[in-house]
Amino acid sequence: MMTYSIETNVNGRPRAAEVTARDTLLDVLRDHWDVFEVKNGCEQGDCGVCTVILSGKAVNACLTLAVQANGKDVVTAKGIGSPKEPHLLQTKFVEHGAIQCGFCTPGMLTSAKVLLDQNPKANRQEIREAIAGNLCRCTGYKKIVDAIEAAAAKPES
Amino acid sequence: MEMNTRIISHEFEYFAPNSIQETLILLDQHGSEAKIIAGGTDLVSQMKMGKHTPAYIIDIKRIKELQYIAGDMVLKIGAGNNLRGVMNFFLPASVPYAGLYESIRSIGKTQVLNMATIGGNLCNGSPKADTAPPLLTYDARIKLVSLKGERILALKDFHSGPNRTIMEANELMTEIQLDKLPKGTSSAFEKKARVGADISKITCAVTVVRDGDVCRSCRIALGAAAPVPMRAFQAESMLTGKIMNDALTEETSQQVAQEINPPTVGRTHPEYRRHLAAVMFKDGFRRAWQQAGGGK
Ligand SMILES: Cc1cc2nc3c(=O)[nH]c(=O)nc-3n(C[C@H](O)[C@H](O)[C@H](O)COP(=O)(O)OP(=O)(O)OC[C@H]3O[C@@H](n4cnc5c(N)ncnc54)[C@H](O)[C@@H]3O)c2cc1C
Ligand code: FES
Ligand code: FES
Repeated sequence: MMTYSIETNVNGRPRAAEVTARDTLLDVLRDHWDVFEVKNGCEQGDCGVCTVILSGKAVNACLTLAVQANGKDVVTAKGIGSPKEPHLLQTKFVEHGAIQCGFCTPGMLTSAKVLLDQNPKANRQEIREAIAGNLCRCTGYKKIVDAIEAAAAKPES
Repeated sequence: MEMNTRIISHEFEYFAPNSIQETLILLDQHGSEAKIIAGGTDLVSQMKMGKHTPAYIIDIKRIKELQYIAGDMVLKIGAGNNLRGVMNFFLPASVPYAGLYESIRSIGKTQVLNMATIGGNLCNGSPKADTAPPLLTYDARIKLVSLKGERILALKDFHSGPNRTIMEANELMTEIQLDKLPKGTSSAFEKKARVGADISKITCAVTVVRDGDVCRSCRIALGAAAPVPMRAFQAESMLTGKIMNDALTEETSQQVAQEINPPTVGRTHPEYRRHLAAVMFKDGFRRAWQQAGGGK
């Protein structure tokens, strides 16, 4: 069985693993590196709970081969902020009650983070489009959109 | 129905070439046992379903040579561009190609648009591929390259059956070519899916060249309406050089409904698909016609 050595940087921390080509990035994050905030849902690109930021772009870890992530930076919800120093997005998610069961939250946060990095003043329509690949079975989305909108920088007055 | 087993159950070897030339050498060596991976949004799922079990995977995502959009009289789109990049290039302001923009936008999911490529959308061979109908109405050509040489063919001759294309195992799609569209051209894309941002039930793209009240030409293509993405040539011919009126649009929409060849198995009844085809043609035509007239 052929294996490949891969190295990535997950939330600023260098990580390495011996993988087979068929391992997905989602498998390796969870099974090798204990990165459990990246969730495992449909495993076919539909639900978005596995969304990570790979080299600055939101991608589905379940559709990415681990070998394809070799040499790249991976950011997850934990890389966005910590309980001690939460990112504004995380604070707003809590304040707005944008979390119920919480299963979709890490994916929502990573999608929202990329949006605000690229478009800090995103409006509601742009927010809805940015999270179109993230399903939430609990909140009905309104509170999630509210939270992201609140985190988006207000226009300078 | 195929099942997503959630794992890729077979082993394969992985290559990540840095150039087209390296890719062609690998394809020449391993061709029939190899699969190209671009965005992987189709292929990875298909491997989890056991639909494909290639011994070799050749990753073209790192090849910069496949990621360009350039040209004036002929617009050349590298097959490796991700869908988001193509969508942004054709922002709605570029009226002639609005249909292509709308087709990509309809896919919706940010992550998929970031990962998926336009070449992958076509090479996957699905009759549902959303970029195929608008590209068909632009008479797009594609470039296929192998170590033996290259060939350029019309996109309409590319698909050969459901999930099949005429591409040989040693070939790589490198480029999609679009001729500059004449003045007065606009296009639109209509999609009906089960829910928003989903795989299509049926789609229709319309490109019109308008001169006042006269329709100089109209090209109509449909997805998920036949075993392959198709043009509705007979319906198109009903409009060439005609002064437009509602009765003519209605009559043409009935011809579109006749011309499709909907699958008889699956979730959607063929008659319902025919009905949708007619409605979507009318909606698409109306929008393209208005945009071509200066957006009134
Ligand atoms: C959640 C989800 C939603 C989706 N929604 C839609 C939708 O609404 N509409 C739609 O049309 N599609 C949809 N898709 C399907 C898919 O994203 C697209 O078809 C996409 O464009 C495929 O591109 P890719 O680069 O990911 O292809 P890959 O999966 O990498 O490859 C697909 C096939 O093409 C071959 N291939 C790729 N590039 C080349 C090349 N340059 N030369 C030769 N062969 C090549 C591969 O070998 C493979 O057989 C969806 C997918 C997911 C996961
Ligand atoms: S687990 Fe990746 S999108 Fe659902
Ligand atoms: S909070 Fe439960 S899925 Fe979104």
